[in-house]
Amino acid sequence: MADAPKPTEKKPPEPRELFKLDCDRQLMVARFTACGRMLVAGGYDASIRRWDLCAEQTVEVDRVEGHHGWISWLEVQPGGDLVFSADTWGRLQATRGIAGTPEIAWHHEQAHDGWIRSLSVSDDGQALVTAGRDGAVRVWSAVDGRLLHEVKDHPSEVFAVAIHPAKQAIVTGDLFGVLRRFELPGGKCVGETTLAGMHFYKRIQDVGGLRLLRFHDKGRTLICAGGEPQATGRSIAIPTIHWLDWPKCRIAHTARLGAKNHGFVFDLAWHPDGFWAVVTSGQPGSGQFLLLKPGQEKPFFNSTKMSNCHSLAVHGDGRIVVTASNRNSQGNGAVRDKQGNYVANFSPLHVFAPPGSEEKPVAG
Amino acid sequence: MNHCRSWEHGWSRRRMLGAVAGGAGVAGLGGILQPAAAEEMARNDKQILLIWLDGGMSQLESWDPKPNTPFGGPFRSIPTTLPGIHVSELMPKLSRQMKRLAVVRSMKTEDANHSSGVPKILRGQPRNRGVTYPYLGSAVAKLMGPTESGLPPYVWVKPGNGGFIAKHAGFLGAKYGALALGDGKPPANLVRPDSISAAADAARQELRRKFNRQFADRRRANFNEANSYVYDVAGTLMKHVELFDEAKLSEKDRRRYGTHDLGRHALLARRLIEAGVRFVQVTSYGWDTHGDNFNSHASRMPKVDQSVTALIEDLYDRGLDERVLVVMMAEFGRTPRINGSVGRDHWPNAWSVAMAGCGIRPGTVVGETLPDGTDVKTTPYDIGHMFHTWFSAVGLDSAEAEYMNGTQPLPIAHDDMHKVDELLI
Amino acid sequence: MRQPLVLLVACLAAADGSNLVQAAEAPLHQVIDRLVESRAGKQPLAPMSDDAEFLRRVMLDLAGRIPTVAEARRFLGETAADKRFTLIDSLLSGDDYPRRMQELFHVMLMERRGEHAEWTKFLRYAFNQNLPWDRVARAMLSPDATDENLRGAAYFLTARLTKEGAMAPVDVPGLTRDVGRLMAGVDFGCAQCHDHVSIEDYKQVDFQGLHMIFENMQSRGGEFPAVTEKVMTKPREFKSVFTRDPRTTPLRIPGAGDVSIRTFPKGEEYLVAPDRKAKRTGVLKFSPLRELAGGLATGKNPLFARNIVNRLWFVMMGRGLVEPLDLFHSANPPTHPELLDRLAGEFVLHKFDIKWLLGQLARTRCYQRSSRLPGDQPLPPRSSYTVANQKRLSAEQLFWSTLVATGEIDRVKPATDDTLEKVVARTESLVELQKQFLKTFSNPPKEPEVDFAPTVKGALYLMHDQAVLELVKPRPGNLVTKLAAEPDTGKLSEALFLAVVSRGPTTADVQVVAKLLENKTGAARIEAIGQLAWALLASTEFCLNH
Repeated sequence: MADAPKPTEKKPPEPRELFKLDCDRQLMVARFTACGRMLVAGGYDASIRRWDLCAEQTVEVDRVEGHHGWISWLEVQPGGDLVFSADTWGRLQATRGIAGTPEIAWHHEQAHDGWIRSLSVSDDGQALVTAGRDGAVRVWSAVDGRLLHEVKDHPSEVFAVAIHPAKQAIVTGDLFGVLRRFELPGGKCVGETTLAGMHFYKRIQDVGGLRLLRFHDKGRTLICAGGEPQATGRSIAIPTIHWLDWPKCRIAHTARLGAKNHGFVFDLAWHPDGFWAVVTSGQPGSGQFLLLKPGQEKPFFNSTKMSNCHSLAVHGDGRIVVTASNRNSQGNGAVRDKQGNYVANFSPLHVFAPPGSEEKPVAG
Repeated sequence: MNHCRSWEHGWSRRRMLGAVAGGAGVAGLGGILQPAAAEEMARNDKQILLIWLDGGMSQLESWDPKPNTPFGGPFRSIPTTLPGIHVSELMPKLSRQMKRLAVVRSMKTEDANHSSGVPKILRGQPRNRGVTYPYLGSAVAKLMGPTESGLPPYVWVKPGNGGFIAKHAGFLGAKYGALALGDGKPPANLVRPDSISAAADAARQELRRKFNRQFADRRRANFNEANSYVYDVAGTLMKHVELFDEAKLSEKDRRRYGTHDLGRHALLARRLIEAGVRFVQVTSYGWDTHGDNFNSHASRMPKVDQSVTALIEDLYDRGLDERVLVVMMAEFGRTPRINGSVGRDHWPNAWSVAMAGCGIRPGTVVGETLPDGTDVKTTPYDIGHMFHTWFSAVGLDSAEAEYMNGTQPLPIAHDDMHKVDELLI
Repeated sequence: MRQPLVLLVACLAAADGSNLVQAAEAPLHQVIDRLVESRAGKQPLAPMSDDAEFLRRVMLDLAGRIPTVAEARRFLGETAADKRFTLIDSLLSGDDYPRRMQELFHVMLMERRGEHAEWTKFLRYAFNQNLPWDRVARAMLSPDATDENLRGAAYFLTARLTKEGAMAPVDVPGLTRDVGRLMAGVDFGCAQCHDHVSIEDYKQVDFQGLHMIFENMQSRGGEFPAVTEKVMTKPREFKSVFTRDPRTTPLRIPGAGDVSIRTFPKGEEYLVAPDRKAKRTGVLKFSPLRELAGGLATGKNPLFARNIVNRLWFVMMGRGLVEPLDLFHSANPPTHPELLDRLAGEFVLHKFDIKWLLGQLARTRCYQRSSRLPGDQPLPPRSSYTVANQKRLSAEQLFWSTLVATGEIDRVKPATDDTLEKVVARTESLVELQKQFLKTFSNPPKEPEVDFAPTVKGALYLMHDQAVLELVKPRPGNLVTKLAAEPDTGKLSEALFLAVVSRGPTTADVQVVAKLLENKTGAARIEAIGQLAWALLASTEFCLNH
């Protein structure tokens, strides 16, 4: 029997790269607007970058300025017109009309004292939650930026935060891989779970592995993503995603998406065709774009062609954008270009048609 | 992998030179005798404490922030007690010590590799004469000798293993190597077991010395000197065994320095300095932040901020600032360019060194980098300039003093370089 | 500008013996003494060592340990005029010799990189059989996995091909460098990326032409060390980081020059084709390693013979004729050029017979002088060899000697003829003690053990380690117990000094002992005897071969 030929497996369909956009700076995060007309992104130059998807050829249009340091996070309002952006100096901003003529709806110059680590918007688009290096977690009214709730003096540094769709709880994930559940209103801590492995300490450095929290399935599932760190210095990790039963906070499923010397899950999104799209960083200079069916541990598609993917977003029509880093961005810190200029690394944006789209024409 | 780098390289050459010079003494023990000025130096009570951030701390996340510029990274800068001078927000405590510190922002050195860069910087990278120079600690051990305490002159507090690290001594010979205290722990077997009384120990050591004296008579002396020296050092260390008793530390000190390795080791360093060790080096490893540089510095810098501030405060409180030179540095800085793994790579072209205490002009910032932090804008300084400056700060005239390597006189710091007067009182 | 290394070699006398017409003139040891003494000029000459000094020295060198009291008494009591030569010959054919050589060559060749049972087995076999050095070297450079006795030699290569950390690449340049250093006495590690900056003889092409051999090779893995080679087809391309000129080189063997690469049509590269099923790697028609072994480890290669005779001279005389041992080049000539030529030439004539060479060196007056110079003249330079040089003891020599000195070996050894090694192997506490001695008194990995480098660690170990202290406590059968039973202070002193430092006590020594033991009885006396034994163990005299 050993020699019997294996039944020929049909190779699962793969996403197909449609085109690539360029951005002259590195990006932290990219999202499609709710209307689907614009791709917005933010990163190391503190400006909101925009690409008009409706133009004949996708082009970058005017930036939205006002931020400082880096734009650390950016989300669009579900079903609304606002884009919320946060930076590493503590500014939180809501921008209206991003697909046309942008206008700042409201902002707080010091929503936090320093780096806003995470920003998450409620499913109904009416509230957003932020967490900062200052040890505060705050819930804001999406409409007018009013502070609704606050958790002061979080016992540790928060890396990730999410708000439950019912808006009666927020959950934080900290540097040490600890999840905490806070009741709204009041902000009382009502539960704590440690995700073993999502923290590493050596040589006076804590490496946090819990980088992303996301509610899914109407709040029945909490996704905890990032990595299981293995070292300091290069900060390598096994890219990892846990799916937890909410509100029991018990791990229902785990996917480890790489070897020990890879990196972190930096971003993920649910695709309407029924799979998770995930990007990871990698070491050195590599990274993964992978697609994973629910409940599976191995992705059905995995590409390492792009270097250090930092963000990913799914368009209403099923297309996926992945922001990466330029090749050879690693270890060549001293290299200058042919003219002798010392240029920054940059982020190509790769736009993919979802798997199977050859059979199914892409809308738009 | 390039082999043109390691200690062995020049070590062989040192031995070659010993051979060529016609018998500079017993191999490996050349230069074991104290310099002629030894007695004068024994009266010199200056000491040095070096904080070494191995792998390369980022100047942009510490002494030379460039906020809101293409390479500036995510962090803000904060004002210091020195008007007009800002440092990274990751150093709030040190920002308030700035009037006591001197910072050079215009360091420009040659080597971007750890394996060769570390020794080059720690040796002050003198002109190549085919000789392996000593590390700073060994150089000071040779030039200044032990203080009156009799404690070994070069003690290295480091994470990991300890031992006696002879290779730091270069051509000076094993005696000037570092006594490394792994994780701040005393050397193995430091404590005399109960089975031997103090009197019995004294008796057997006296016998050993008697036998040695007889043996050494009319034989080449250096072998017995070297062997006797290690027993003397062992004996002196045993007298200071309380230095290693963490139970004797105050809770307040532990809190101020921090309970992490760097805090514990910096606190031990203060105590070693107080006990009279001539040169103490504290090493913190893992600063090679090629990935996740900003989270790394967010985790690391506050620990440096905490423990180094506590150290500076204590030296001032005890009046030791007039006697103890403190230096904090690494083998290079980190690239302005941020790589795809959100890290910074190696950058010797423009980086910063900080110092304080003995002989140093407090509240000084020397040099400036370009607005984007890529290169030095003012006169660049190499590590040789720093060696001249530091030697001068502790009362050594580096333009005059020389080592003797057999018959070969050697400058103690790069002969094309000079001290930086702005840094000195 | 100088030509590469091959020209340096051309200037040297060919070492294949062809020019040694008067080779049979006198035994080598006499020639050595003539050459050393004529060069010494007016340097003061130390007297010949007395029998005790000689016995300890030659036993440490050829047996790797000090003599037992019985051995010392026997030798000191002998009256035959040629008793030293007789002793030398008996040591060379004795049980200890292969073990001592195995330890010596292990430290020399592996520089504390690690151990491997197959490697140990190979070395032991080589010295049991007294294999010629060229044969031994060829076994290391071009290992034969089919020869059970010799296959462990591959560890010389494979131990240098291990990763030392996740981010560290396998150090192939380090291997290249070590082959040059240890087999040819040339350290052109610094000529990897450019011609050596301070040694004109060492060129980048020398490094690159040797390096390509090891880049073409891999560690095979498996239960014993072994390597495989790929088919080599192209010369090596390289650039100097200084000039950036692209260049190429064929294989280049230190001391032998270029070997052009012979290529064969695809499918015809092997004499014996590789066979995966049989786990056989095949025999290449053109094997770079075989070329290296053949071109380097031969009497025709002057560097090869010079390197090993210089190293063996260093072992016996405490200083190399060329120092550092791995920096042979024209600006670093030997202190005794003619002597080095003779040693190399005769060693080749005697078919690289290590045992023969060591025997000749041990027979010299030069070897047998005292390390002490009476009178008040200044001590001459070490390179004059007119006063014996003191030498570092290896951790192994220290360990075996400590067991002998303290009578520990008598304590654990029931009356059998077992060797020291076998006694230790079956005694758990001594296996552990051996481990601790090696850990405490060895250099860190990759640091050649050449200089005497005592450490605070070593001092504290001898001062306070419990297992060491046990050695000088009275236990049935050991030295302290035997001494305690001796009521006469003079006899006690004699037994003590003979056991630990292999000589009788001086008058001053006896006085020290007498004063210490004066008025002491019972436990106090035994404790004092223990202190005496310890003080001698910790003395400079004990930890050197003087």
